[in-house]
Amino acid sequence: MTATGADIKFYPKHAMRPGAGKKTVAALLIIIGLVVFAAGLYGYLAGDLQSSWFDLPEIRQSVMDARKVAQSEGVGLTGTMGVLSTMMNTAVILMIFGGLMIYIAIMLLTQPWERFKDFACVVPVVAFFLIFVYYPMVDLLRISFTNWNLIRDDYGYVGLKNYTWLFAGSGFKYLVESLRITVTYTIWEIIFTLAGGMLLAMLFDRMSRGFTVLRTFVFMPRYIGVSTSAIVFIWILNGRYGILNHVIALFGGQGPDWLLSESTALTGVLFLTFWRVTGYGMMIYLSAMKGIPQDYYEAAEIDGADGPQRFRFITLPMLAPTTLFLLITTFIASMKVFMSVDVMTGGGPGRATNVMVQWVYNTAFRDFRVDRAAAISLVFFVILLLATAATMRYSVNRVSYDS
Amino acid sequence: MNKHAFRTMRQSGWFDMLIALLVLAVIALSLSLIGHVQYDAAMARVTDEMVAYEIRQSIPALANARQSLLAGGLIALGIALAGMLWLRFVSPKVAKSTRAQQTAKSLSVVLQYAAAISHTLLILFPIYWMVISSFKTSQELLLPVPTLWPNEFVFSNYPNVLQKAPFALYFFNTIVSTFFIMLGEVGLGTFAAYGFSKGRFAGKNVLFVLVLGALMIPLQVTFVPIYVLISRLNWMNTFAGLIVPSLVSAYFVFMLRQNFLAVDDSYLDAGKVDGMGRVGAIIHVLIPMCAPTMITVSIISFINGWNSYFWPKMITTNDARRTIAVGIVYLRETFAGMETSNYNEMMAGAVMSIIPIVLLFLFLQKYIMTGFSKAAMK
Repeated sequence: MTATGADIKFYPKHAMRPGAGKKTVAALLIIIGLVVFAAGLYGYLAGDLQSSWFDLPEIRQSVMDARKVAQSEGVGLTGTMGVLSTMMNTAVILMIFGGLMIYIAIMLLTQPWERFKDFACVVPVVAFFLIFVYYPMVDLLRISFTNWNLIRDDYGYVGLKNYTWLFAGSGFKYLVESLRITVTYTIWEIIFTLAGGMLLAMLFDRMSRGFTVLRTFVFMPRYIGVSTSAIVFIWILNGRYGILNHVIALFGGQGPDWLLSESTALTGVLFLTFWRVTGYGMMIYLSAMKGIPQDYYEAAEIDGADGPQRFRFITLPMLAPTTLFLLITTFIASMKVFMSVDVMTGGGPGRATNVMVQWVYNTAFRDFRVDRAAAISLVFFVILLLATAATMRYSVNRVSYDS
Repeated sequence: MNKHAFRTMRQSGWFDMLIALLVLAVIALSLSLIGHVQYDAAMARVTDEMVAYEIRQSIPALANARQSLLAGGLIALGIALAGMLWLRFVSPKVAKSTRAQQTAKSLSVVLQYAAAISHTLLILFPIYWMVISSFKTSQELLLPVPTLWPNEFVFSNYPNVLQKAPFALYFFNTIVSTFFIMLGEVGLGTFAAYGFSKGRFAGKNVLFVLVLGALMIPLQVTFVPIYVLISRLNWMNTFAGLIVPSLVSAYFVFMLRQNFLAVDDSYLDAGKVDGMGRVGAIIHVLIPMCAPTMITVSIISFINGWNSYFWPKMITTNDARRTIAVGIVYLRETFAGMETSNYNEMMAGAVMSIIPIVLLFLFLQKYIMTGFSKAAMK
């Protein structure tokens, strides 16, 4: 521990010592923090947790009634009921802010002033993650134990009912179906990114101005918004007037009604995926190829290795770390696919393109079954986490990092 | 002589590839054969009262894909055999004469150019088709044979679409929300990255684990509770609801921290001696020294903000704060029932929505590439 500003004791009398008065501020922060936290906790117990302690149920009921009255009259709640209602609505944010205030006060008291300022730099980000990442995870668990329907304000706790629905009830076949579709999509996206990217990287691997321009254009689709490109592809894949079916007709075939028939809808979505991701895979592979020392190739050439052999014994093993990187990032990204599917098919026709996120979305915002959506989300999260961990664990041993 | 040629052929790396292709072709063809057998068996069982849907359901996967497998297998078989013949009869002749070698080499360069250019054209085609469709009349869109170049250019699709949907409002919403998201992601991210890389305080590593953990929890998992949170705050259809949940990106914090770590402490110490504070150190030392990454992060943040669809779609229930990425999709619902005839106007909207991104990408792609090559090197 080196001496910092706060450790130096002797300051001129007239100058304000940096961090002076921090005890007062800390005390104030702790008091305010405790009050805010207590208010939040009260609101959380009364509202979300529906605790039966003290006289919370009656208070909750009166707030609900007041809300209904206010809603029917079209005015906001005021007075005590307004404060209570706000407390119930913002309970968790109040709790997190109160807790953070106390944490800040403790840091203020225990850390030297300079270090406290370093800490202050990260506080906003930490607060953000607590509110928008970690609390939602906890809330997901809580919601999954309720019977909450989004159009009703009232709900109760039903234990594991949603999980029984998902694993032992009618939800199970949807889960299997949705997972199957998501995994199919993911496998294709991985093939496009890895194999397509690798092939394109070899094709576009030439140092010239013209090729730089070509590469830029091949890479560009990734940055065009998915919703816009999905609209364009809907037009291209149109059954009667779409250009793709006209091209197929030129060759004597008859294209299907891509997005409107159950057997081809996913293929239709995959057209867009192919268009978007191959250039990205190419770019990543090309920049990794630049890092392979040229003398490896020269040595191989002297030994008489031809193109495929050089690729097989130099390029491919040297690109293994990049392939692993692409595999894991593509896997995580494509399991979360939503935008293209939502715009192009909305999960349909029937349930033919009902990928996981789309299923959660439709359950929550079309059927309003937030409780079931929460349970599915959690299961999806666990699957995502396990699969990622397994991929990493399995591949790390097989990849050489000797570059 | 013959034996020798055969040996050189087998030593070539191309030979291995062709053998692999041959094996693939055989596998595809036999799968297709199984599929055909399955198909015939399934068809024999079909009774008259079955509807088409049920027939399709009763057919196993291989039978469904039998035609594609057959076609793919035949193509692979053809390529493999042609390659073998080339290796056996043409390659030895090429290897003998220097001139033939040179010809083969320039031929391969020409082929590379041709393949690369045609692939680029294929990739650019949807964009071309979008632009060209936006200039066509509705009648021309529905021609039995589509025209690659409009018979007559119509510009009225653009004013029409501006009239039918509040596009100016969409643009305004997108620009404002993108600006603040970018400001938050880059600004807060920079400060946090400073704290996590150069700062020293108790519990730093624990808090950093919090950031790393946030990388593992995507919005696609947590959107239901966040939606509940935002709706309880009455932030539906507001800029706050649009912006605040995207204000920090764990990925950017992580990326910036890695870059700041690479900056030597002595630069910061020198600044400190000159009386530079934390903000000064970040603005005058860290940001200039990590300029490429800062620019990359800002551009990617801008593009992501502009294109984001998932969250804006959830948070906007009416046109008031709809962004352009969502608005373009709702445009389709405005035209619902008209089915095809309004695709020209939708394409006009699409063109307008991608112009800023395409311009940004073409002018600043150097920085985007830098960011990606860094990500790939890790």
